[in-house]
Amino acid sequence: MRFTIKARLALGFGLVVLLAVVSAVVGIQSLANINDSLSHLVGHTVVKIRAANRIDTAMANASRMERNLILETTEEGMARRAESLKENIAAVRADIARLKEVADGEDAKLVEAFAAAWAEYEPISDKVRDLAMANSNNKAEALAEGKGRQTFRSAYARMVELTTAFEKRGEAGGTKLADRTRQDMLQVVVNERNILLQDSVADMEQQAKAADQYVKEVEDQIGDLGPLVAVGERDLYNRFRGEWADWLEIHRQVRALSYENTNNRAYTLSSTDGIKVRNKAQEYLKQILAKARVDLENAEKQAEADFTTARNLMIAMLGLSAAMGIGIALWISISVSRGLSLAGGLAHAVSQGDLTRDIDYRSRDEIGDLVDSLKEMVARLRTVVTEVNSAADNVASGSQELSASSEELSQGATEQASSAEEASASMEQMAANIKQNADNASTTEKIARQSSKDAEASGEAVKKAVAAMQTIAEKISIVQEIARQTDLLALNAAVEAARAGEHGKGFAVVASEVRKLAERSQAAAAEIITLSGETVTVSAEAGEMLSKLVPDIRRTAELVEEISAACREQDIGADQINQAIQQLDKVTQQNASASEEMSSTSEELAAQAEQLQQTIAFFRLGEEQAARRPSQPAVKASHRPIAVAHMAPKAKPVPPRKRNGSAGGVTLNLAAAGADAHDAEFERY
Amino acid sequence: MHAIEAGTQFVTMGVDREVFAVEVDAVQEILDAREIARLPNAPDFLLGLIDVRGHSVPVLDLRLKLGLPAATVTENTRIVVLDVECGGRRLLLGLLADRVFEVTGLDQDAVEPPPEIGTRWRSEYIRGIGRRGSDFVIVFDLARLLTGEEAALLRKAA
Repeated sequence: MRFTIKARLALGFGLVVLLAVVSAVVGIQSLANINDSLSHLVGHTVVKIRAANRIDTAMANASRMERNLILETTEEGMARRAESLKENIAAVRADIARLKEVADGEDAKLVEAFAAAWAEYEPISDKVRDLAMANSNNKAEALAEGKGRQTFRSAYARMVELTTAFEKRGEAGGTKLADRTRQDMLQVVVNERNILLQDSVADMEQQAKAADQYVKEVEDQIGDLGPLVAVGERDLYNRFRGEWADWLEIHRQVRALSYENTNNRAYTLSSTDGIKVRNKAQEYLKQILAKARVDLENAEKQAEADFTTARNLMIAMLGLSAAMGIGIALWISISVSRGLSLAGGLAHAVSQGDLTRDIDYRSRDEIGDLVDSLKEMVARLRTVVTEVNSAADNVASGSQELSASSEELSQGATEQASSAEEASASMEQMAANIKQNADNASTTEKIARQSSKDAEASGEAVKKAVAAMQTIAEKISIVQEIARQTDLLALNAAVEAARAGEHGKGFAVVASEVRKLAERSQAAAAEIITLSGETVTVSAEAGEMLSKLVPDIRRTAELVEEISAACREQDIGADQINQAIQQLDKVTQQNASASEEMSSTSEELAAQAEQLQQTIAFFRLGEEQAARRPSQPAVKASHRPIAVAHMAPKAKPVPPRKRNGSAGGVTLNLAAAGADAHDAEFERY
Repeated sequence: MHAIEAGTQFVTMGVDREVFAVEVDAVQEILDAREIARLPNAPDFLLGLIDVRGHSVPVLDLRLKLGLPAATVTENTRIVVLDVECGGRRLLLGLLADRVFEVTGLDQDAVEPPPEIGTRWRSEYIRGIGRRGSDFVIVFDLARLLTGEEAALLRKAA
């Protein structure tokens, strides 16, 4: 099979390109895988983590806001906290929705569980908020601290005044009572504060009981004080009682508010059920987050594994293609270089004139073709050089022969010149004869023309005679008709005469005579008609013969004219021949000098041939060709007769038969017997 | 049938190879053949009418009348115009003959009645057969030649 370099290169590059394509396909495949997992990561896992984190924050915020709401005292603050709480809850809901969107499989269950827990939490939170918004504990405290404290201070101040008044008056009992009252009053306030500080309603009621006891004592003591109060102090005492009553009223309100105990309830709810539910939700959230993180890690591991596989495969492909490329390149370059160096060596040897070298390189590719061509070229060169060698030898010997021949030629030319002179003289004689011929021919031609005209005129005359004869025949037929009519008339006359009987006898004789005459005229006319018909026939024949004669005479005139023309041409031809003979004389002289020149040229040629032989000796032809060289004179000798044979036909005269066939027309060959091509154009008379 | 008087002149005419004759007294005129105006529904032998100096004259073809085939008109063809007494009336008619020879008398002794049998024509037309030299001359009986019926036809045509 022929495996060319082109095919080898195509195969090598094809394989390398194929491997590159395969590795690119593998790389693209891996990238696509990594891209898929990254998309999943960004689209699902990361979203999930972010949502879960946000939920976590929002839940913490919500819890904090709940606490703040419980602790908050002002309406404005509470509203703000409640709003914030609501926002956080809404945020959680929104993120739950988002989670549900991206969650799948196990995640979805967790999200559902979380959503359920959150749903459980939301009503609790609402309740805590409502309770906190009611804010009864704080209100109670505010009432107690504000209006309560003021009223109490005022009442306490009156009691102090009253005590001072009693001391002034020296009313010891009164003073003592008043001091106890003041102490009990303070005790009530203390108890009130304790109520406010209590968390549970039971504790509050316990404190309230103590407070009630002191209130009763204060009431009793107020009653006891009554009789001790002087007139001047009555007003003061009454004012104290009014203010005490006011304070008591406030105290009752404080207590009622305290009993409501919303803040504490809210706190309890928040810190028990709320925390529990929230913790449960948070637990689910943590699970979701943990799961998402695990997904994240898995994705990372998967991506790494993909990357490693792809990298290894691509490295392997790269290695394989590199190895294959190098291998093929080496293979091609080695094979090409070996063949080319062999071919180069052969070409160099030829350039040095060495035609003996031969190389053995068998490869069916372009290099093989090149080497084969080179080998063929060397073989051809070898043949050519051999032939040139022998040709140069031939030229050398031929030029010597040429020299001898040219001398002979010179001698021949001199003889030719004398012959040409003789021929010229003969030609002049012949030209004079031809001119005489031409004159005679033209005279004959004139006579023939005249004869032709005369014959034509005779033909015309005969035609006229025929026409006249025809006219005579027509006229005679009229006479004949008249004779016939006369005959008829005579017959009728005879009838009339017969009918007349005896009287008509003489007339009958006349009629009979007339009839006879008419019959004779008729017969004579018929005879004339016959004769004239014959005359016409004869005349027509004469006319016809004459008319035949005319073209013959004309033809004769034409032929004579042709003869005359031929004579003129002959005359011209003779002149030309004469000129040609003179030309021939000149040429002969030129030939003589040329043959001398040729002699010297042939010597020059011999020298050139020798030079050629020396030049061609540059090529070495090896043993067999070198051995053949001495035998070349033999070859030369065999060539010689061939060269003579080539010259021979040129020297020989061309056979006359062939000359006659040529279209020249000026060749004189009067001696040749028989008809030739030109004779066919003429008629013999 | 009355006998032929001696010295009677006849006009002789040729039809086919035979020679016929009519008495010269019956002949009014001899004419060249001329254009004949044809008559519709006429019998074959009645060729038609010619004009003779202002008179219309019916022409009979003797050849057809005698049962011979018709011949073409030549320069010798003649129309013999007859003036015939027929059934007490004069009748002008033309006979188309191949040729007319002459006005002549017959050798009186040689006039014979027509033979009874073996003839080529209907013998009732023949008045007699005369001789002139060695030739036979058949003399027509004109009245018979034109029977009553034919004469009536001719009169009608004229």
